[in-house]
Amino acid sequence: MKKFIYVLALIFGLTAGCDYIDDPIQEGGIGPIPTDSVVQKVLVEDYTGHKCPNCPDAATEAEDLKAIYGDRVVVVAIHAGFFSSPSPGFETDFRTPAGDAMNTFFGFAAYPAGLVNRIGYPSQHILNFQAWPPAVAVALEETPAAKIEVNADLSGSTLSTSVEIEYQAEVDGDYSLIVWITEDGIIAPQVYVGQTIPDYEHNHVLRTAITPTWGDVVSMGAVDLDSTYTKTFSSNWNNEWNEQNCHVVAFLYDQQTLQVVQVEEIKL
Amino acid sequence: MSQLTKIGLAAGLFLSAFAFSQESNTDLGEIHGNFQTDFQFYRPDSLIGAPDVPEQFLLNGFMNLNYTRGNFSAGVRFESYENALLGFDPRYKGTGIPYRYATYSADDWEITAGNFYEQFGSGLIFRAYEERGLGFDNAMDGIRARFRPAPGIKLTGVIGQQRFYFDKGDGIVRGLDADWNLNESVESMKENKTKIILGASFVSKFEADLDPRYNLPENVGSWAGRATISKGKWGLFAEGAYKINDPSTVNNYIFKDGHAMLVNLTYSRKGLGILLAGKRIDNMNYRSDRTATVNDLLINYLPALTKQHTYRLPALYPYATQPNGEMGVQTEITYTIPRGSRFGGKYGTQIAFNWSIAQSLDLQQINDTTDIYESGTDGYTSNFWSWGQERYFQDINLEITKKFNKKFKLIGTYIYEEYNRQVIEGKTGFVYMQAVVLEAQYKLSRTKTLRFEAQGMFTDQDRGSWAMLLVEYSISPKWFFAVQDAWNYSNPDPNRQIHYYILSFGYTKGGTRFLANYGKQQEGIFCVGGVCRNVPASNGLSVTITSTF
Repeated sequence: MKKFIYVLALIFGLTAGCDYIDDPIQEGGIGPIPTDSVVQKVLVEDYTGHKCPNCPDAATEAEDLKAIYGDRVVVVAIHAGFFSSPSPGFETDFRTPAGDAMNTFFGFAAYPAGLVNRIGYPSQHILNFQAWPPAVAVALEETPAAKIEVNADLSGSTLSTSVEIEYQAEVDGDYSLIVWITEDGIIAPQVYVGQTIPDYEHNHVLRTAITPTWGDVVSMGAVDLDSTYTKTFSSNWNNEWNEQNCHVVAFLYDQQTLQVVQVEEIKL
Repeated sequence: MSQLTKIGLAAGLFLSAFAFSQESNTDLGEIHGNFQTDFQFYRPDSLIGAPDVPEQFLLNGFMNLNYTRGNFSAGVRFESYENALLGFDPRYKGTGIPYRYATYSADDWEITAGNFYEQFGSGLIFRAYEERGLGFDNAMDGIRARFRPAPGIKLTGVIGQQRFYFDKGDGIVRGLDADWNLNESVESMKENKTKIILGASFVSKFEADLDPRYNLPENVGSWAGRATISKGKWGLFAEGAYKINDPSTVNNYIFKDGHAMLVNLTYSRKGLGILLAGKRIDNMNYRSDRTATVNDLLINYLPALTKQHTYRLPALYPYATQPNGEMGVQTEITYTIPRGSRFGGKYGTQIAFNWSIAQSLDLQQINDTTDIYESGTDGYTSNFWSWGQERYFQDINLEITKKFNKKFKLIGTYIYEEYNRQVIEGKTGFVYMQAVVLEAQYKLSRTKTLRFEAQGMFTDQDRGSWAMLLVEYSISPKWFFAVQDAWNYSNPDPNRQIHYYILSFGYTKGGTRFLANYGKQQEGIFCVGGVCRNVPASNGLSVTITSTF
């Protein structure tokens, strides 16, 4: 008899597991945007390609996230992998050496897919776009460990960039900085579920990495609160890029976990 | 992961200590296991679309070690991907011990701690299993308890997280299954010729809701009930399942509930077997991570109900179960024309006919302003009995096997297939295919066999038609040699009318088998039971070594 009681208890314990939802849509689900001087921002890397049939959906998802969170979400579209190679009808080559290297390193096998602050490496970092909203929501909850300020100046064919990093916490580890140029509003063909959109607008396209692919070391070992580091870069400007539509994206990451600590984006 | 590895290593050392001392005392239990390694050297070949492999050489390997002593058993599995072979998910990376368990069983109960595989009924709401060839493994990591309170009654309770490559999914899966064999448990039915087994199960997953857009269910429960009834030549199996709202990536975040129904009716007597099967699946994608796709973190298993072709060419278009919804029917009739009759000959002639079809559900809008599959709504309604307009798959095939004498046997096969690439592979187009295969087996002596296959697969779509020849020579039980060439002779791109040749060699000794293949493998889809993976084209040498001990 005693055995049956245990079994019954187990059954009741299990049948508790049902949440019926009558109101699927969250009302005002987004918390107020913090007014502190330093806010945690999140980098969404969208690995994509102009011949990838479902990739426009991922781009839309990224825009939706920007609509919800504003500039707290930084989106970069990295054209790499199988669907990104140029071919007749798709002549634009959006690929970059850095993008190709990261695509291989992170092990992308299907597109669209992306990284949110590069959280979850080495096994749970690749997220399909439907998984971005919750991942972004979680990443935004982090207490910012660093503040990044970016300044950039284009004169002639030289872009001078300076990035100031101010640690907001006592950290211990090796941290590196990556700086990219992205471009919006590039009109070029894109496949979308069985058809080709000839005048698709490609946004947040990674154009080049100013730093090496895996960045420039900022600090190694223990760092005190409020420590400040400044990095300056001088890089060549490609005149095919429309500077009016370009941004500089800079982010700091932990070399051990690869996780992005903080990201900043400025319009050129 | 590192914690996991440590525990696994500790268990491994513990086991090997037993292994070394095995000789000294007869009562220290037994160790058994098996080992397999697959490695391949890749050559660049852009013409067949083989991807570049920077490593040039890739390897998958594993070893199972199981220790048993009396009522106690424990085991570990060591896995290695340096790096994973092409076509396997690159998240299988590195070496580790993703599977370890300990089980203790007594008279009427059994407890397992650690990893385990388990299935409730046909798996419609719960199946934890592995399929090495697919790189599929959703092993549970947690606790399983089995209990037999009375004769004929089996209860199974499980709780844990699911394997996710070298990690675990965040969601928690909990389940309970009851299996009741009436003939064993009810005194008056013991001698009854009608055998009845009833079963019921409940499974629930927990997953935190962090979504900024929707109020998502954190606990998603599902139920299933089943019955197996057999009497003499007849057998009937039926299972129905229900799942509450479970918005996910795969169903585009609709809040509809899910249903599944599976029915199998069989009749068999000497020389004749008939199978009739039907299924209806409606919004039954069930995973412990609502954002997971493809083969990741699946909690349930939805059978394909189609014949799995093993010949190389017709196997290019296999069916993959559509968890969002489908209706399907399968019939299989096997008949042996009696020996001594006009067509039966000396040994009888076997005829196998198989027909299967899978079709969409008949979907209706929930109201005029809501699109079908619109996120954040109930998605759609559908009539249980009516079929949708879209054909997913159809396969009609006939196989005739005729043994002419002790040495010579012929097998002829005809296959007609309709294959919806858009639905099955996400690529555009629909493929109509016919295939003919003639296989001949000739025994040269008691140990030496020559086997020959001629295959033709004809289609105007996709990559066009193919022809193939295979010659195989085996000296049992040790040696095996084969040559085959599949020619894509009518590929619409003349540059791709390529010969995909493969040379094979195998050697078996005791429990160890060595198999080597050299040649070109065409791009394709490889499926087991309706679960599929893409296999990219490759060119090179692959070697498989398996061993059991």
